[in-house]
Amino acid sequence: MNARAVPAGFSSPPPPERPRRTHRPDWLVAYMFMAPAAAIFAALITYPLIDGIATAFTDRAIAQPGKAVGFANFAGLFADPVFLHSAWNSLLLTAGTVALKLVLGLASALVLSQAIPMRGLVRALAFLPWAVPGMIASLAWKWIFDEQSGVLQYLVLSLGLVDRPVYFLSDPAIALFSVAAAMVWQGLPFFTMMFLAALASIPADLHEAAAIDGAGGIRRFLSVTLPQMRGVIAVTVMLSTIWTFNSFEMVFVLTGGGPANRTHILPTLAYQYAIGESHLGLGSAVIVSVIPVFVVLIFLLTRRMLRQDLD
Amino acid sequence: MVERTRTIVVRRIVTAVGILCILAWSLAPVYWVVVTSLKTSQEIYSIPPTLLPRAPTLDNYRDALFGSQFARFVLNSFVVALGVTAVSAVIGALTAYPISRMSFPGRATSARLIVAAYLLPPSLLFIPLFIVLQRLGLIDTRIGLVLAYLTFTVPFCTWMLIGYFRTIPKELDEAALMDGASRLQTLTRVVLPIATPGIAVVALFAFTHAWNEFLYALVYVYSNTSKTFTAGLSGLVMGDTFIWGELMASSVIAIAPILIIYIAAQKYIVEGLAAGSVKG
Repeated sequence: MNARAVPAGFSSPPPPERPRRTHRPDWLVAYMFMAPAAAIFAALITYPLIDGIATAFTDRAIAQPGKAVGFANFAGLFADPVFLHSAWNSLLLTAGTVALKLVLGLASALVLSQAIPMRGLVRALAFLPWAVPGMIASLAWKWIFDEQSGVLQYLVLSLGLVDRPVYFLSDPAIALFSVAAAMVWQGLPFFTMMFLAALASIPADLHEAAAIDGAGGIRRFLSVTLPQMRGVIAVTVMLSTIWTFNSFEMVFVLTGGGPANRTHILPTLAYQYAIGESHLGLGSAVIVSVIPVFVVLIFLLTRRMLRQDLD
Repeated sequence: MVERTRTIVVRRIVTAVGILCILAWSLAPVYWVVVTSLKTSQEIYSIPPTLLPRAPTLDNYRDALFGSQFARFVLNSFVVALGVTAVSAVIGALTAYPISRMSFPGRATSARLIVAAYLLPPSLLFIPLFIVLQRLGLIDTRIGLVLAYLTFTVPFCTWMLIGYFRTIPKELDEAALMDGASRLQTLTRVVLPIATPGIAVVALFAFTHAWNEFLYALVYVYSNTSKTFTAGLSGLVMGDTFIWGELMASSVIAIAPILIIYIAAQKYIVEGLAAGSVKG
């Protein structure tokens, strides 16, 4: 430290040995810095994941450790119409809402990227649903869909769209659509934000060049905008697929999986088996049955998100 | 030229209609929550529903704040979210520093594991984490809930901070190291002061996540002393009668802090989102 006080080139005696501290090697410092995160990773993520997979092969309950039962839980699940139906619901809801969010997100991003008055405010308001806690969004929609006093019931009846009350949440054929609407409401702003950022990063001269070549608006969108956004679209869709598949509170609050277990998705079914009915083993099996899908998705997404990021 | 002006007019009309649709769609449910919270219970259930409260009242807010446990739940949410934010910002910065600025064996793997952990959905973890917390005797405690939230916020904060730290020239670190500073001093005296906006955004995200989270709260805390507001509200919904006025007033109270943060930091949040999920 003292060496710093001596201006360079000032001292006539041979410069004192630089009192550099003997630094620990870089790798050791790096590992010390990362130790707390590594502890969390090992104790609260990796260990539970392995333990959860192991639990799926037991009949463990909340109050008793249980014993190994081999593949009995899985065999039971694949013969269980409620499980199969929930898996189907999960698939439909995820595919449907992600597709809808993709199309609507592109459209809203295109609209919001135009030169409009008070653009900052308009964008902030358009993103509002994203900032609303999922629990509150679910409650808001539960109230809107309320079958006796809800505002939507009044609207569809008084506008003459239907001639008798619609059971938005208690008719299993309709309930999934209601849930989907609420999920799109909540998830759309994320798509819009991602696409707005991507739109803003497309070099303007690409559009100009295409315009000079005589390409019209639609043509430019298809052959300039979309190809330029491909990476962002892929990441957004994959992220949203993971989140949507696992979104719990919308279904839990809006339908609770009912009536007659017809509107469950896999996470709510796992909750019902593991916590509601105390069968931790069976609940884990529900989750474990979808882990392969997520391993693939997370692997692809991780690679994509890191591609430009690691030298 | 005529063609061109017509295109412009059409474009403007489409844009205007589009914006009206977007705003109506995103604002209507929020509007309905707020309006309902200001109505008397008689008016809430009246047909046709009123677009504006005829006799605006704060009774629902009074009931929510003083007639129930809700204020306590909000306090619990606040304590948990603050704890999560502090711990994950510190651990996140410590982890992001070596990954973004040092070279050591295992660096690329660490980065990969962090992103994978960030992407891991809570529904995959909630059952086994329940068993772990049960073993530690931390079920139904706020500390247990903080630990559960760290599984998401630590990887998330680390990942975001890696991005921010990379924008700071490495030469600054090298200069500090030459002057005899340790790596820890370099992090706290050189990198962190420059990365303050980044840290703030990351902290906001961590806070918001802990504040909004529902699944872990539902499963891991159930008594009034540790329940957060999301779990508290679900308790009210699961009953057979819904007191919509009070529920909507509670909702407004619970949204308020997030909205204030969100509006104040909107610009950074949008930038941060883009930076966090797609690097480029």
